[in-house]
Amino acid sequence: MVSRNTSSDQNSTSNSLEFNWDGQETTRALRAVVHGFEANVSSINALNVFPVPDGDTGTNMHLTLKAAISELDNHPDGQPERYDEVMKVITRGALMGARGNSGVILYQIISGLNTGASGAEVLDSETMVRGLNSAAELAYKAVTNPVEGTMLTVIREVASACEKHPGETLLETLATARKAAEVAVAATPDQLPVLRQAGVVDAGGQGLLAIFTALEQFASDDLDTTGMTLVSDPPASFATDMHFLDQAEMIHGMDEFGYCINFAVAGDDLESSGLRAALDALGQSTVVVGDATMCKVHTHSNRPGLILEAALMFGDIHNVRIDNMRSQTEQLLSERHAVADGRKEPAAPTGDPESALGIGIVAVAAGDGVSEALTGLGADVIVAGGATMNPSTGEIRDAIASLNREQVIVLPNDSNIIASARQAAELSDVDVRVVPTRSIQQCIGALTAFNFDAALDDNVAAMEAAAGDVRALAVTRAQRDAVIDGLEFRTGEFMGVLDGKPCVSGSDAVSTVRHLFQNASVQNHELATIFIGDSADETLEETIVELLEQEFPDLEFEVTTGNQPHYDLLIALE
Amino acid sequence: MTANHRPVHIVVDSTADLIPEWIGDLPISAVPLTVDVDGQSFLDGIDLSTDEFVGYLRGGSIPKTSQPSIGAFQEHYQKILDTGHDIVSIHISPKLSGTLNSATQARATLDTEAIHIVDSATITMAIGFMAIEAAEMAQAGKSAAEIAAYVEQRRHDTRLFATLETLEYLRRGGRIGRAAAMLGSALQLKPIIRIQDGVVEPVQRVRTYKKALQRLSAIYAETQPFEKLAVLHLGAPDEAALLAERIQEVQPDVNLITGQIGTVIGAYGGPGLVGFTGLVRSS
Repeated sequence: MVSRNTSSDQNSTSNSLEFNWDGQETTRALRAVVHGFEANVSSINALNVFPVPDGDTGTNMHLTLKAAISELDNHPDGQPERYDEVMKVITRGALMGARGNSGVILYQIISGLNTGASGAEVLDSETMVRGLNSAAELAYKAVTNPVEGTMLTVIREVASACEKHPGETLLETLATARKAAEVAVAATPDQLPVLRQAGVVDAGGQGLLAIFTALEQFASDDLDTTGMTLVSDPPASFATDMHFLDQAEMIHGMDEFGYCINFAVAGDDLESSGLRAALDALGQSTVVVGDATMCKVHTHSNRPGLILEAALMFGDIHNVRIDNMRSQTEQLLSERHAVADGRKEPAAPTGDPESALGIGIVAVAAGDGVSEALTGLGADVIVAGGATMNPSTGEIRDAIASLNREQVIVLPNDSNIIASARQAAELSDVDVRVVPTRSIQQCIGALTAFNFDAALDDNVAAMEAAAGDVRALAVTRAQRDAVIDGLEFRTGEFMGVLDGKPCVSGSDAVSTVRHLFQNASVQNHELATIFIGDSADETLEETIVELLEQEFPDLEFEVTTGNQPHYDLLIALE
Repeated sequence: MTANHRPVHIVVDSTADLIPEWIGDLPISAVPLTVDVDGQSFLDGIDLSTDEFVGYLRGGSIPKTSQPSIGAFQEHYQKILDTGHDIVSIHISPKLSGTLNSATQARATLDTEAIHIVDSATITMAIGFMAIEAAEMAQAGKSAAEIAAYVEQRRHDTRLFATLETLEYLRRGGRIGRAAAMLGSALQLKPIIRIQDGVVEPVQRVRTYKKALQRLSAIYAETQPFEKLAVLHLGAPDEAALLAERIQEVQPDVNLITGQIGTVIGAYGGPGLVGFTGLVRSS
């Protein structure tokens, strides 16, 4: 088989129907997928169940895809000619770059496609079906307790539909896949009550749909490499997702353009191709998504005014958001560097060189104060990251390797990082155990329980038990309006989170903390360790300590500066 | 009673923290170490009460301790030898104090084979318990060699676990060893330490006193049964009583005494130390 002629007539999609993809064509398709996915990052990020600042599925999947592709760019032998070779390379890239649960599952899917690719010079319909089947199988295996209504369901439905109705051509099979994904994603709220309650579809599933959509469009030659047209309309949050401080900008913040410009253009008969061409000439990474009545625009430029003026020629503009990417990037980088510098400090002075031979501990944390506290409790290396910036498998693996110990315990400290920590453990040459801590608070319990002389297994058991004894209280601001268990949260208002679940809303931090403590059966505990976050009001520390000491006289309080992002307060109740 | 050897007297140093009631008419005596506080020199267990000493520590004084001089041992040994006794001399771990070294050099000056010196590999009442057993053997007519051999075996049965209010005293005194790994926390911690093979070893950290006591009683449950047991503390009688209560819940028939540690051990443990020590059944 030969590859499709990419310079073929744009209107003549029928020509490409017969053609399968060799390595180079697959590479082009994958680049189109990454590009197409980027346009969906913010809307996928918006699909979070709880309005807390948490792992952004869109960002995580996009970064995982980018990592997969960049492995091709760095391939020493140049671009592989064969489909199976391409898959082998990108599987490795996805493995190291997997971020968050969705990234890890996406890696499993890519890995399954790779298994199906074995011996295939080109990707044809049959190979695709085979790959999808092993993708579904691997994805389910990767999750300890598979939950329906997630991207697992979507990949399984896609595999099953393609198996039942395989197309004669790759395009037909990809069309079947995309349709099956659409149906499966739409059904996720019926399978998963939390989605229904939050009024969203599953974010990971939506991400898969974006991928299959991009693949189908590329196959049908309908893809404009500068912009993506989503087959399905953007979700109902189309307008509101503009309000989200998603992290899409951070991932492409390193280009030479200073501003990330997002807005919508509305009109009666929008010429989206003309709009795209005009903005393309003025900006970079331009994405125009939409139909004849409304388009969403995302672009980078040093002259945001010019972009807006140009867009006005085509229609009215709405929901303008301009972010200074350079300052965002600098902030992110400095945050990472601060923690990275912290990790170079020795964990603790040791009188005896032998103590360096014990069990090493890697913990994931954000915020100088939090990192310092964990280091003081015995964490040897801090991997910068947390709820809103999930570290990759590769970053965790590197941290493990940097310890140079035979035995290592990893504390992921976020439910969305546990999977990549487990993957990093598998990739390591030494004996690595993951104690699945879901919060910084649990991490404190786990670290404290670490026993210097105990064997690895005993330590893991003790640390897991101790982590479970800690109640994790947190105060943050609602990221969007939401109703959870009959409780109303308004964007920007305070929100009390107990063991990962929002349960208190309040107009001020102090009353939120008070209610949170009342919900947490304080009488069973003796110590509250409070980390003050970067977003907290300056007077908060003093006010809450006074209040809490008065209301809970039997409880000890320890207050420390955490500098954690997004959370005004993190409180470990032991 | 085989009488073809001389009767035996047991010598310890003051870090054995012998409780006077234990001694009765047993052939046992202690050579004091010295503790210097605020420019004054005190003999451990003689010149300065533990309560006064805790007062100094709480007031911020930093004590210094010194081992008995060779001469002090020489004199002490000579007096005993003159009464026709052989000697078994049992001392604090040489990894924590130079006391055993002084004793050994004193013996060398006396040029005698009547003195058997034994490294207890432990501290405080764990030494005391072994010394009492040794004195009982002496009373029963055992020879110095037999008694010394017994103590050298028996020292494997000593256990000592304690929680400290702070590691600061251990650190300042240079006795922290591997427990140094527990230093440097931004958050408050209650370290649990043990004496193992004559050195201070880290066991675990907990966040609160209550948890520390819980953990100590759990460790007790794992370590029991004890044949001899003491709950020890420094300036923390209420907490010690609480720990004793917990231990008695674990092993209701245990014969337990509660006592304060002396000034020398106290200088390294610091006020607020609570723990237990004793002898388990020989394995």
